[in-house]
Amino acid sequence: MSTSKTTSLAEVRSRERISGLPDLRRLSNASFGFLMVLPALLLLLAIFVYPLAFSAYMSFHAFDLARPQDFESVGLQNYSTIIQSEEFLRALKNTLIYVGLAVPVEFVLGLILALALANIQRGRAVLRTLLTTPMMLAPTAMGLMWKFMYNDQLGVISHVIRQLGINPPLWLADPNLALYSVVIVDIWATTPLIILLMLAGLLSIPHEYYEAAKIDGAGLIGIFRRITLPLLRPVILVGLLLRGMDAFRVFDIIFVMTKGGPAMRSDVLSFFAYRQMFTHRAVGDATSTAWIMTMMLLVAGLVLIRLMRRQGESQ
Amino acid sequence: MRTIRWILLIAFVALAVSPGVATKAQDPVKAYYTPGRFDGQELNVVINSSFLETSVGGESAVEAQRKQFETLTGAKVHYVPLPENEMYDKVRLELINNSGVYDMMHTGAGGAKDFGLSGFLIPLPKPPDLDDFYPGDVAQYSIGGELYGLPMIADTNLLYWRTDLFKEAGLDPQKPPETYDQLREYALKLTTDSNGKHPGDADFDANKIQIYGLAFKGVAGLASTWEWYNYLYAFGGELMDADYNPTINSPEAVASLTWVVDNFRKYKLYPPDTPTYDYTEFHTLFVQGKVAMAINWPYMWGLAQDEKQSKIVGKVMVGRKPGQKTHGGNIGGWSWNVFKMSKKQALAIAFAKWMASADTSLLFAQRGEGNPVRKSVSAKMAEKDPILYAAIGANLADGRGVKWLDTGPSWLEIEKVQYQAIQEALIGAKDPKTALDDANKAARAILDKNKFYTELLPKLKGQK
Repeated sequence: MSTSKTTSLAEVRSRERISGLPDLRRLSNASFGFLMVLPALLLLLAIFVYPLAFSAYMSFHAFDLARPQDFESVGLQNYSTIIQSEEFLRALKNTLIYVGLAVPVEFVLGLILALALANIQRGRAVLRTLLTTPMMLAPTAMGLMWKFMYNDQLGVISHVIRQLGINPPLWLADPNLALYSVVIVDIWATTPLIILLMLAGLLSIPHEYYEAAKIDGAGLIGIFRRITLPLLRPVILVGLLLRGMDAFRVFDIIFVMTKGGPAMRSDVLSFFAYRQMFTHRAVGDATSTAWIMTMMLLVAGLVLIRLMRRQGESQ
Repeated sequence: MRTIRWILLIAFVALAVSPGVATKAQDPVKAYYTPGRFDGQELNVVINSSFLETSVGGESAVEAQRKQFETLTGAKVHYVPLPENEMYDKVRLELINNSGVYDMMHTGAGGAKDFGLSGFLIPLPKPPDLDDFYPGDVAQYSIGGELYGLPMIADTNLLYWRTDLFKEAGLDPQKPPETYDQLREYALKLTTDSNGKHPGDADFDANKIQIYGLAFKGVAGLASTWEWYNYLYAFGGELMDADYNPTINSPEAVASLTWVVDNFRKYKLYPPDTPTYDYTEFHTLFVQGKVAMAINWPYMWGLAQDEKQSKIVGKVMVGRKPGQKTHGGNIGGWSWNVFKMSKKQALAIAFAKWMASADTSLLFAQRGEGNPVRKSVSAKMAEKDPILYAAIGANLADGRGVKWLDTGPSWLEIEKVQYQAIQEALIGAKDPKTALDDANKAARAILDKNKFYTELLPKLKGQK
């Protein structure tokens, strides 16, 4: 045996022959790194990839929990049935209205409040905490709270409106208003997230740009259009991606506040998928709905990511 | 000497055996409910987690009885508490996989038939004191003459009314309405705006109503259908005919839904956001004093008497629901079921029997955790709270199960089309007849899709 600290190749091979295991010191950095992350990768495969793959597999089969013996492959039939169903199309329309209203309003409000916060030096932390309080509420608790606030007889909102001598609307009972009433709650709950995102973006813009612009005689609107907005664009796109996906998948506040009613006028895709599974017990229909939603989100996400890349390249 | 010894031996054996024989012969009821020894065995029982909470305080009835059973039998009983809205599907997945994880559970009104028709349960030995149970409960847990659920607690709707508002309106609080026509007449007198006017009066302002004569749970959920079934039965309607064809668009059914819709849209007797009302909004409005009369489950009596949350303590009475063509109303309840996949069926059956005994039923009632499913227990409780238990007993005697439950796994899907129809009619999107015609057609389609007529109906009728 060599007494020096460096181990000869012959010694390594000798050890390997004895133990039957490869000497880890022979591995390249890449291979060694792969081995180190392998346990985490296997865990990820088990809890993420396998359920995804299994749900995709189920979406091509008819499987009713009430009749588990009737399990058969149906190809694309589940997808075709779902896409053509009136309930699905109405839920899709409502979901697009929900996203189309909630997300832009949250962004505009969030940006305005973030701009205001960015220009406040004293008390910014306190104000930021107050403004972000809605984020700390569990969605279910929030939904229940707003459901009672909207109540015509007992709710504070209707009470205040009546004090002004106006007849309050039937926020959740009016089929033409129920969805928009829930959108209001979503805006209230999620604008704080946008405030935080925008504030972080605003505070990262170098102050020198604004100073230079002022020296050049730029006004407030000009500064906003030519400095703030372009530099915030990456943050806006990331926020749109995250918020858009979240709003598209809304479930909890619909479930708590309206259960899709009245008469399914506030039904959304997630709640539709939930009913396929837990009311109709049709696993195939539920998983195919989930995959339709996933593919729609994927397409939207890819478009946004492309925009972000273009934005990055132009900068 | 030898002969004397033989005589003594025979006499000794006869004496040893005869008390047992005499006991069995004399007290089959006690023998049925008294468990044997199951030393060292363990049982996994799924229960609705809300039954581990009590309204009276202290230990829940299910917990107290579990401990006593363990002492008597030497077995270990493990409760698996799950929220009600999760437990059925969670258990169903285990049953489909035949995992053997659970031995038994208790289920709500539809569970015994749902799981029984799906082949997941074993029939249970009929209690010798079956007559002590309300027949509607026994029927709703039976399939083809076999009992798949031992009744645990019963439930039925009661008529609630405000005695103080009755007096103010010139009505006799001791004489509640006896028909639904009368109920509406009373409601018209009791609905009052901020100027003290009633519907039909000149200057009545429907936008300023202070007290509503009635309320209805119009939410998109079981709360609305299970209230409507009371009216449906009372108007002479049925969910299905003798051959299990849906009949929810019969003239009687349409009349009952029209009664509800007219109360809401024409007479303004219900609060305007009724289509959003689930149990919470409904009972909150009542105990806050905004509604004069209501039809609801007995739990609301306790809330109405609770000074911490009620503005109407001591101002409420309960009684028999009105009738129209009949006094019929629907019943709910819970029963104990044993799984086919259980490897400890004997122990599970013993526990189910124990939990269906008269003593357990009395304990549930005394702790305010459930209404008596037995006539004898109703009679005992009536001595303690004559108003409430007289009302419960009267309504249980009128009550019958919801026939959709007989369809087993189709039940929930059909309920969905049902409450959709009610909501469509309430918001004026469809008239009651069209709404119920569409719902009836959809219900039939669901039954056909789930092969109810070809596969499940023969089982229901006891045909193999």
